[in-house]
Amino acid sequence: MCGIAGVIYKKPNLIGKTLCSMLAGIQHRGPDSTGVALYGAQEDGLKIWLYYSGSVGRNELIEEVKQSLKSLSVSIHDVLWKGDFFSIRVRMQESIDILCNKLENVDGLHIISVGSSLEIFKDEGFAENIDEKFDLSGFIGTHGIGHTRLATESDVDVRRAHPFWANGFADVAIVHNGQLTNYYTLKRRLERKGYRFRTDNDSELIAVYVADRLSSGDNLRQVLEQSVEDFDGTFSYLVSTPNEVGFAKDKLGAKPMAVLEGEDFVAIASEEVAIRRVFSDKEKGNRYWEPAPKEVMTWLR
Amino acid sequence: MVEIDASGKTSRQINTEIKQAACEAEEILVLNPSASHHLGVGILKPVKITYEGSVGYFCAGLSDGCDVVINGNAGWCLGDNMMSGKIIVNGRGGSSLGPAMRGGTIIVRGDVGNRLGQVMKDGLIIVEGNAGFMAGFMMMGGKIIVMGDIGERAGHWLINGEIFVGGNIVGLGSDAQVEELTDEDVNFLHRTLAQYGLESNLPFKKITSRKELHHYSKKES
Repeated sequence: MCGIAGVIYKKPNLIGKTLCSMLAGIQHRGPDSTGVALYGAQEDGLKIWLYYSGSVGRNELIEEVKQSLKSLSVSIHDVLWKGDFFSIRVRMQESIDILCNKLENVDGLHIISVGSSLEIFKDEGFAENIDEKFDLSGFIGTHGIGHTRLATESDVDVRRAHPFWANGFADVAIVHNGQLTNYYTLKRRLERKGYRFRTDNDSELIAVYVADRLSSGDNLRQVLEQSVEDFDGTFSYLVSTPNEVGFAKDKLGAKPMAVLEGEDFVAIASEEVAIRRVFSDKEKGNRYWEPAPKEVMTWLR
Repeated sequence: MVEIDASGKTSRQINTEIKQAACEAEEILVLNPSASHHLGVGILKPVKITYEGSVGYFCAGLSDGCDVVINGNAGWCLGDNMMSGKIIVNGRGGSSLGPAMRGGTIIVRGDVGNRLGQVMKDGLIIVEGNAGFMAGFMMMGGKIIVMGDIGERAGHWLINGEIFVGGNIVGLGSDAQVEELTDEDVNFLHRTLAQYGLESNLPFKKITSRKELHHYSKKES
């Protein structure tokens, strides 16, 4: 199992609160870890969320980070700590790949997300735990995706929790419910192209695959359509970019998905029970459906 | 009639109340079910249960003789293994609707998802809208009527039973075939659909098993 959820509002809204409520409704699908990828206001430079599992103190660690980035023309601002997680804001000329490689040279440092509007918050535990830890109820934005995880293919920890950031590609994230059975074949193919995988989780492959296709010039819809042909196994997954959210469904329709589309919102989730936590079934005029096998769809915010 | 407000309650709390009410009243009204799972499972009394809103997975499963009305959508596996009774969904039906049902009737006013009537053994399912992928998957008996279109791999691995389709058949599954309607079939459709006030004057087609997969080619004498 695993539960996925996504929401798009036409106008900025409390997306953190919405997604946490929806995820609490499908926590039974995945009690191991919970996470959200939220899109707030676009800001200057890049905001990077990092997870630290090492033992040195906070000040010492920030010094180590600065030391590691010394050879690059990068300026670091606004360090913000939330438990073992912290964010930094950077302005730089270099590519994201080079920056990430330098950051990952610091022992115990793991990159959670990079983006000018994307922020990923994820941890072991339930939706209410991450809501409280990262103060998500107050987060205002236009769209986001979220996940409750029941680990089937790899360990339970922060690194393997969803959403996955599309490594090297700012502001793109995915959440996935299912198993990719041709994981090793596709992973080798992407590694030959020079991509590096940070985990042994099959969902990370979707993030890297999407990043690769987007960077080759495909639009999101084309990427999703091609992925349904390329991926083997059972899957329902969501992708988010700074201005779009999309889903793709496997050929067998083995993993669930429900969509509710209203005048000023779209809500997507593994089960209707998640949607009904926020969007009442008493409101008429909204379109509800269960996507068919191989169906893909994208919405602009 | 007993009224139950399901707002903010867990499936177990709601079901405890439904079970209690089924002993006391002939009619139960469940308000704000909010697509909660496993509602009204294992109710074996001839009671009428109305859900004012969507229900989640496995609603009315393992039930016997209930008269259920859902004024909303239904999640996956509605009426799983039901023995007898009637379920009317006034919205959309989920996937694997009526799995392993052994009797009774399910009527869905809207469309349904994939694997409709999976391994159903007896009873009747009527879908007024369209049915998705692999409808009648490993169906062993009973009848399905789809008034709209039926998706790819209809009747996949069908063992026994009949699927009537009023609209288009997008594709047939393995070991499924389209047969001519007999006079008996026409009478059955007319009688059954009239009973529920539905149009029976559609160009119905019948999907049955070719009996080459799960059946021996030589019969015992």
